[in-house]
Order: sequence, then structure tokens, then C-alpha cells
Amino acid sequence: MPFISQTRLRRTANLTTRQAITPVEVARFDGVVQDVAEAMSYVPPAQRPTENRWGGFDLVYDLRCSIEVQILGLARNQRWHVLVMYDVWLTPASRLAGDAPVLRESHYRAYGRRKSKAALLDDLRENIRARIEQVSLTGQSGDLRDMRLVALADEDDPDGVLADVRELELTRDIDTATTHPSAAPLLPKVVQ
Amino acid sequence: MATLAIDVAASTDDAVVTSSGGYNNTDTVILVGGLGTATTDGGQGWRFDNVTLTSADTINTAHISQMKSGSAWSSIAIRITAIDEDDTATFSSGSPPGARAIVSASIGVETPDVNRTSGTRYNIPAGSTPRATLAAAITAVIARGGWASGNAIGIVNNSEQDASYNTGFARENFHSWDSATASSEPQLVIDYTAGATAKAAPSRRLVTRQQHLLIR
Repeated sequence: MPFISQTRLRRTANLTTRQAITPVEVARFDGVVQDVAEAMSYVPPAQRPTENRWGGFDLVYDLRCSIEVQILGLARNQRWHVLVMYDVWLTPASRLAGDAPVLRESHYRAYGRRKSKAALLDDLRENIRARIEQVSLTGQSGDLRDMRLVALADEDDPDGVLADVRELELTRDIDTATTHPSAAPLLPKVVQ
Repeated sequence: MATLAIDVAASTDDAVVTSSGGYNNTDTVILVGGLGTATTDGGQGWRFDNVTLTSADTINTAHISQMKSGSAWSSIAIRITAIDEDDTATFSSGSPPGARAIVSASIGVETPDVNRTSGTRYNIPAGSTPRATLAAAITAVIARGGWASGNAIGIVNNSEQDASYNTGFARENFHSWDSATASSEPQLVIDYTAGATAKAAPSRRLVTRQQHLLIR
């Protein structure tokens, strides 16, 4: 699917002692690789670890897209609720050209505790990024929004959280394959 | 599909009965999985309030996102489902998660044996099949006659109660609500397709609050 430009295979543990290590990228692939087992099938047999060691590897995905997020509102009772809708294009140019988004999605986030503005921003981005990954992995696109979502309330915000949320810069472009390039070898997606 | 993500919101909303039989909802971590010792009412539970879904919605997948405490490579025995109640109450020693009635027709199982890094969030269950099974369990709860949008749903992992999934050490520490680590609360993530006809009402408490404001 279009939003995942590259998949990176990382070793995250010492395969003998099963102790965690700083992750090391060992290979990368164009496009989507669904899981570690698929990635290992593309690794030459002489370099491929035995299957009982695959638990020491994981996959990370590079996204290539442009996201525009609209914050619908925020409400509070025992917790905070942030309602957002977001549109996703393949490229910034496509967004700026006024093309129809490839994906339209909504997200309802209920927070158990008051978060800092920075934590809130990170949390929203993490959720949206995870969703775009999942949509890409499962081959979905189009308008998936829940149009019933409306801001529950925004007039009762004595702490100014709503203003903070509305200041969040959530429109951004993602191209991690370019901004954080990998030195790992690019392997063809051919079963070895 | 739209997404709904809800944090555990109180200390009594995540709890565990350990293999020694002790109830705990105040530790900063929860051991998720099983120890290989059969324990009555054993298991871990999470309660999520304000689930703004109705029986008209289609639940596609569901999982709990949890932040790992301490790096480790170990399997975790997962036998996860929803608590079969209209509006799950908070947990207590007299009513721990593993003692609650469950949606026994939909239990997601897996035993992933992978390295997990401290401070990183992991999805439980991880596989697409048990995630769909957990979605079916949640579907059964919101189809109950007493369910209303805004009610609370409980999720329980009771692998310690089933010998098939309780064959040895298979558990890991994850942050609980009581953890001091910022933004580490367990989180229920539901992917759903909104029902075409029914309208999701705001949570009951929000309605109550708004009505109160109008009256005031």
C-alpha cells in the first residue's frame, strides 16, 4: 500500500543471551513487509538466523505521506477527550494541488490523565501514525471517518487545554526514509 | 474504520491476581501473562470507561496498547476476552478481574515470544486473529440489552486459569495506571466502522454535565 515506502528489519536483542540491545538495522525492503517471518524469507539462507531466534527482531516502517489534521474539539468530565479528523495524501504536492485525499479518518482519544501539550501532541501523532501503518498493512483507503463525531463541549475549559490543543501543529509531511536514512542493505523481496 | 482510544483512568481500573493469589491494583507495573501455576480468579484486567459505541457499530479489531517496563525477551501467555457485563464496575479484592463473567465464546489466544524494549508500547494481542477475536468479544458486550454508549468495558487476560495456556513462565511487566512514567497508561484501541443509522450519544456523564450546565 502506498503510505509505507520502506520496511526496516532490526535486531533488537542478543540472540544468544536474549538480552536487549540498542536496535541494529540489518536489512531493508521496498514497500510493505507484513511480519518478521516474511522478512526472513527474503534473507539469504546462509545469513538467516534459525526460527527460534526471530523473536530478537522487529520491523519498523517508513511512511511517505502528507497529513492534515482537524481538531474537532475537546471535552472534559473525568478525563479529557480530543476528537480529530485527518486527511492523508501521498505527497505534499498532491495535498497542495487540491487532490482528493487517499485516506480520510477520524480518531476519538480519551485521556486518563491531564497530559502536557507536548505529551498530547506526541500521543496524537503516535496514534495517527499507528493507524496509517495499519491501514497500509491491511490495504484500506478512502473515507473511513465516523461522521457522527462532534465536539462534545468546548465552552467549559477553565484550564485552557482546548486552546493548547488547537495550537498543536498537526499538519506535517512524513518521509522518514529520506530524513532518517538507513545504512542497512536493501534486499529484493524474493523468497530465498 | 474509525479509531477510538481510551486510557485506563483510575488506579482501580487495572488490577491483577497473581499466582500467589494476591490481589493488587496499586503496583506501578502489572505482570501480564501467566506463571504456570493454576490460580482461581487469576489474571489481569483493565477497565475502560466512556466507550462511545453502540450496537449499530461494527467492531473490526481491538487491542490493548501497553508500555513495557524493563527490556526482556520472553513469551507471554495471552488468553484475552471481554468481561460480559453491561457496565463493568471497578475492580476490587472482592471482585477481581479474573472472577468476572467473560464472553467465553470469543477468547483470543497467542503466546508471542519476542524481545520487548523498556519504554516502548506493545499491542496485546499482537496477532490479527486474536485482535479480531477480542473485537468479537467487545461486539458481544455492546450487543447486550443493558449496554449504552458511554458505559465501561472490562478486558481480562486469564491465561492462568486455563492449563492449556498456563504451562510455564510466560509473563512480562507493563506499566499500570499507578506508574509515575508519563503517558504510560494502558490504552484500549478499537477500530470500528460507524453504524449507518444509530447515532452515538455522548457519554452519560457528559450528558449529565451538559444538562447541569443548562440548568445552572
